Amino acid sequence: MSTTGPDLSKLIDQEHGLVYRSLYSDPAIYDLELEHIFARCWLCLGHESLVPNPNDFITTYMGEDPVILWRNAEGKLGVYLNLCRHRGNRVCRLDRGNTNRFVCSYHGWVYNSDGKLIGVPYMKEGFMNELDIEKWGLVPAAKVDVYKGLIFATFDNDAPPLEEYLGEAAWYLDVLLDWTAEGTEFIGGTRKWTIDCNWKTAAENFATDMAHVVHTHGASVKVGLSRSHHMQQLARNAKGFTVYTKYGHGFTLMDIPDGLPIWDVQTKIEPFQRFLEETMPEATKRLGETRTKGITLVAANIFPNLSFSFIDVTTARVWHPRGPGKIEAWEWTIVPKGLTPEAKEEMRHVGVYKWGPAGMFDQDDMDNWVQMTQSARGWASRQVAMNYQMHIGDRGGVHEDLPGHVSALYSEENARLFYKHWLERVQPESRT
Amino acid sequence: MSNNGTWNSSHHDLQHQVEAFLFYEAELNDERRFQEWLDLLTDDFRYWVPIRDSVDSYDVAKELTGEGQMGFFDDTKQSMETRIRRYDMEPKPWAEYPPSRTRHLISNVRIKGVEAGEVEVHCNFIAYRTRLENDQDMFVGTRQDVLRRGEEGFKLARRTIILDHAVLPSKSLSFIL
Ligand code: FES
Ligand SMILES: [Fe+2]
Repeated sequence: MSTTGPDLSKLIDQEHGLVYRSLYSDPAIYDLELEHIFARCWLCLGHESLVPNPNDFITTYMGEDPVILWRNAEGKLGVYLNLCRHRGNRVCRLDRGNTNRFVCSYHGWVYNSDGKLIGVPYMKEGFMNELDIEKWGLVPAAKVDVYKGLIFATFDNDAPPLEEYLGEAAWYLDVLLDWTAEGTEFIGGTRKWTIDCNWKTAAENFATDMAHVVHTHGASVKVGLSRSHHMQQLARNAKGFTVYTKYGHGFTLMDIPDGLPIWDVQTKIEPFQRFLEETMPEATKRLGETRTKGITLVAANIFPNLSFSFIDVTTARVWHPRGPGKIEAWEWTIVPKGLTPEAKEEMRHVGVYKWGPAGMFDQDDMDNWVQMTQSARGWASRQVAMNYQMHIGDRGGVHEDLPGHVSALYSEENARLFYKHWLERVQPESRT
Repeated sequence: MSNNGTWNSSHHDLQHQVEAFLFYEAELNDERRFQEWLDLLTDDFRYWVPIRDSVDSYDVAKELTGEGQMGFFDDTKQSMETRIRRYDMEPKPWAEYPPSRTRHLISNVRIKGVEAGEVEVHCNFIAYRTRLENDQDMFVGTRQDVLRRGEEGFKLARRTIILDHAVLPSKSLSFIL
């Protein structure tokens, strides 16, 4: 039992697959999340292709904290709180750009792309030359690391190395990130939009939720938007798995006899199919047949708030929390480098009309999450548990070919373990 | 064509025709008369809504995404038809069930050029959308349209919408902007 708040373990009943929805609405719980999840986990800030050159920067968020992702003059990546050390003004107001210094708009303190304070007006007249500028640089993240193009950072000095944090999840992500030796890139442009929902409703949806696909997205499937194997299979009774890996990550994958491992193809993305065929032998050498021929990736969430859908074209997005009842979705299309121009254009186009706030596939999810979050406001509704009981009698376990904890396709084991991990984070004493 | 006050009466006629078209087109959209709305599009119609970021004033040429980059919409007449067919699907297209109530307010209509049966026209708009109990979204921006004159009057050949938002204030753009 926490000394500082409610006993959160009462909100999550592992044994019976029950979750109480005040964890979508309680401001005290949200504060615990900011401290124990968003300030402790490795958070994704984007991709190296967003900041390719020396002095390139973007501004983004880690939890509610605004940060600058900035390459220094030598090309090394840094992540800093977007926080002037003088009074806490934002030192950068832009979304992206290239500069070797920021000058604070309030009193003119100057920081360079190593995060160092290099100029202070009134140093002599005001600070009497006594300010130790070495001590007043921008506050860096505790750790910054890149996993095959994706940039992560954490505020926790004691966080495990990124590679350990991703752990077995990397085995699955590598199908995307390591398909070719050249790796991946984001197609230019970050789509940002606002959803009045708790961040966990979105995260768990991508970590686990196969059962929603044909219902929530049924209109898009039926209209012929996605004729991919996934959707055809989902419309029938598909085979596949959900996979949970350590530190809260969840994947859904399908087992399709002639399915593609990833980007299972829209109607006729011929240039892209050609690319897949040409690169398949090399990818198989690198990844092995299980990953190039055995499974088809559907969706994933890397704890806490980095989600992917791999259907047709991979969309990656971060759900930035904005209080318990609001998020900003920041979304990208990620493709392998080295695509032919025709294939890349086709991927871009599918990414535009399928994903994002206007995406025919994406848009139908939002009302569900908003309404789930609204339901957490009423006192009576908060007393009523949510049901996470799919496959509770057969929770899965070790699979001979697939790393992680493997359960059935229509299992909610990923979600149960997501909330177990969540609880262990926000209330460490609940750890068993 | 100059619109700095050196107009003659034929310019007034054209201005009037263009505005009448834009108002009619907005009416069809707002009243969800989508088949009639589709009939206003040329077969080579292109609809593009880029993403806008806050950038340095010296970088302002790069504030919008362009060719080869992502946008909110990049549609053809055919994909617009798909969007519109989706509205009537069973299972429901949940983002539009029940449908958005939209109001497109069109103003500041400027004719930018006239060439070979085409008129380039810019206007400002507010697309006000309410939905469900109290969803309320306002999208504001500029449209850059190309209208093509045919036998039955103008058709819309191209529409680029420059939104003024960086982060969209809404959960979806499920209606036609
Ligand atoms: S707050 Fe930045 S210089 Fe004073
Ligand atoms: Fe979904």
